[in-house]
Amino acid sequence: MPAADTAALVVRAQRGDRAAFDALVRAHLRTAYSVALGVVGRPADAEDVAQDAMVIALERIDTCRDPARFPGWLVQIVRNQSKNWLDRRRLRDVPADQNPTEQADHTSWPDVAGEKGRLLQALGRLSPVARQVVLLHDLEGWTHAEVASSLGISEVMSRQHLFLARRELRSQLDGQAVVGGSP
Amino acid sequence: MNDEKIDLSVLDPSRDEERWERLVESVASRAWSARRRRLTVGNQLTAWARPGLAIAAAVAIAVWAGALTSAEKRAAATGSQAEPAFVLAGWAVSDQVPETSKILEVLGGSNGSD
Repeated sequence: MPAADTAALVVRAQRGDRAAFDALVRAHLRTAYSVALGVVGRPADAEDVAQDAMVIALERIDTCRDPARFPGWLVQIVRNQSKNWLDRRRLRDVPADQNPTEQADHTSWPDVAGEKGRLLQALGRLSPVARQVVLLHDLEGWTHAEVASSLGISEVMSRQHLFLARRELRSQLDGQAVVGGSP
Repeated sequence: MNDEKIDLSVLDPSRDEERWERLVESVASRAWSARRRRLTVGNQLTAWARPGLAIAAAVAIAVWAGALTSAEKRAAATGSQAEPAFVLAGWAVSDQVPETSKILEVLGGSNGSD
């Protein structure tokens, strides 16, 4: 969706237009899902996080000072929600006698059958930022400028992350004969 | 080779259109309700802001007036206690020998008998 259209929808939503709410959710929920998936890993969890983040964003829509930059603002909310969600999972999953900070990465990449499972496993080998870059660029169709701005990295880094992520994904997918290979 | 997009469409949750549409409607509905609740709370705060400020201002004025009165009383009391000292000092400086009744009158005032 062009930035001008998004900005117009955000302004309408700020004025309390219900239809604008629906349109914003329809246009941006998938983006929220992609970012959440890049952080939390499990599709079902990513869906929950994306929904919660979307609700929070729209509830506080009048704090979005630059309506044209709504997507980037939403991504920040999704990333924060995802990190909070990972923290909660870390605390939940750690045994009582173990220090939670000793656990480095609680992002889990599920054994889902078929092509989707293979992709998720391959994505699981990337860094969280690389996952978000490749998902936003290749699934959402964002430009490097948009990705870089939303993730707080330079365009050069965005390109580099994408290059390496694609190479790693291709390598994984080409060499992966068995679904759900060990990470 | 790495310039080509990776086909990630299999991860696209909106491929199941019916389910996705239900999800969108559910999220929009939740967001709308949350927004209305927030606005309602906001309106309540706005509605109570003026009376709240008025009450706070009245309390502040009352406290200030009380403090002022109390300070004046304290100053007056301090003044009446200081007076005998001044009178005695005045007698001493001027080498006067006051009558006993005068001394008792002045010192009696310092004991709060007046």
